[in-house]
Amino acid sequence: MDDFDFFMDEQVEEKEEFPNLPKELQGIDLNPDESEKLKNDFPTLKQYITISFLESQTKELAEILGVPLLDPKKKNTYSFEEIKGAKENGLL
Amino acid sequence: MDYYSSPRWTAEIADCSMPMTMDTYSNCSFKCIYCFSQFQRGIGEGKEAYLNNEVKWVNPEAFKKIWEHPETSQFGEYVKGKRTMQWGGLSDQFDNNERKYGKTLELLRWLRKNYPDQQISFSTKGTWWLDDIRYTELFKDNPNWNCKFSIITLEAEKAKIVEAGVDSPQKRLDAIEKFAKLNAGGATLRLRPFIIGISTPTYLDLIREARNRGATAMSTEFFCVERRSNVLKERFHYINELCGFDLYKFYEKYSVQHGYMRLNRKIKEPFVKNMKQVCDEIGMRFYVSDAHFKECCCNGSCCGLPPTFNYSRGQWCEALMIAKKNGTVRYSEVREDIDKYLAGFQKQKANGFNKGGASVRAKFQGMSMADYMRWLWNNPDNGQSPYTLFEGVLYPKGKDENGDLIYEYQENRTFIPVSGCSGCGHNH
Repeated sequence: MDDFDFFMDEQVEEKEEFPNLPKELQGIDLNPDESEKLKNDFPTLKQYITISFLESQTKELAEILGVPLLDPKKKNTYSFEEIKGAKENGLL
Repeated sequence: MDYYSSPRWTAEIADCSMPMTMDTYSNCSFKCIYCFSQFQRGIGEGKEAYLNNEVKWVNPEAFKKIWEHPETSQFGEYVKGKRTMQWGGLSDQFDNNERKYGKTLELLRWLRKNYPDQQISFSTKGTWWLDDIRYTELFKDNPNWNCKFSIITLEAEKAKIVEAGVDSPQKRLDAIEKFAKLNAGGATLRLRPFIIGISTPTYLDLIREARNRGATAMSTEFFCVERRSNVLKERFHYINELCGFDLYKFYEKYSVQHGYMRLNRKIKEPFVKNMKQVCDEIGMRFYVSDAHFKECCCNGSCCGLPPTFNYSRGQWCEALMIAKKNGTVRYSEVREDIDKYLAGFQKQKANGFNKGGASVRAKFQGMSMADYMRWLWNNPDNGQSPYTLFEGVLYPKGKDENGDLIYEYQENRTFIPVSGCSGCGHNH
């Protein structure tokens, strides 16, 4: 019993996780290199704002933004041009 | 009559040399287990019709109108510019539906007669049409029509299981030979998707044999696994059995993304090197459509068209080729085709293009497709930018006088060096 290799099963399991791999992949580390992670100096600008509000504030917020409608049950999305257009066209 | 809407702008417009892509039918009779179009068509509104094998075809009159009245179509400038069109993006135009309905034949006859200089690159697994003179007479001595033949293994027994509705690889090699003899615009071996365990171990012999039969180019791309596709999940055990290991688990473990699973570069590299080496030896143009190792392409059309074809140069594969040659690339070097062909319509109204959710719609509202391409160029964190798409092979190193990014080719991320050559070792 003293000679029993307690790690044997674990080793066999690891080795046979993907049996019959083609020869091109045998004996190489298949994990991606750390250097593959991407970093650059030109991050995408977020270009949006988030405004949280209570249901009771819905009408008041719509008036402040100058948009005809806000639905408190959904995510409301307006572009800059839409808000600008709504103000210019007197939709308030 | 309820028609199928095509052509469309490909979702891969950022790095595609043939962004105008055409399908005759809404469904494909071949039903290959790995087919990416079943991921798209097997979900959402059209799911039931697709899975029930319902077939619609394009409206021939609407199709003809693109050429006859280009001012009425988003594709008008593109066809006026005689740019190459892709035919066979989501369905095979030479499948058994075509045998039954013949709609592709009708459209090809019309194009051949009225617009013979319209360049087309077909993609097919069909073989029967090469024994049908009604089709072959249209291709004979026609340098403007190229054809890609998809074969992913030489082993007929494997193909029979993953491509149950398709003729054997041997018959498809015969088809390459027949096509090559027509003296048309070139036959390309489309070894896509490359599936480890299925394409191995015969892929190099397949390339050699395709060359022997007359193919002048090959294009490859590694299999991607869409986790959200129930159709694929249900059938994946067939692939696992053929591989002799659990390929799904392999993708889960070694992919760089975890929704649409794509294997990492290290796994692909030995296969790409082998394929490139064989192509160099046998004098075949080599192309990688995969975003990884796309820099191996002989020129800026990863579907395998030669540079003599009039494909779109306004895309990132072309940019990658310019950077491979010169070390850097600027937006001004690829923008000409973008401004000519993609400025006349809004990105959010592009035919067949995914519009995204509310936030995306608001963000890109009012942008033309050309504006969108420029936005992608200048936002390297986006998955479709030259930087992220090619996993850092093009690196944004600064801005030019117009405020557009300048990308630099990174030799330390690939085995293909910067050189005056296209990278394949041959002059094309």
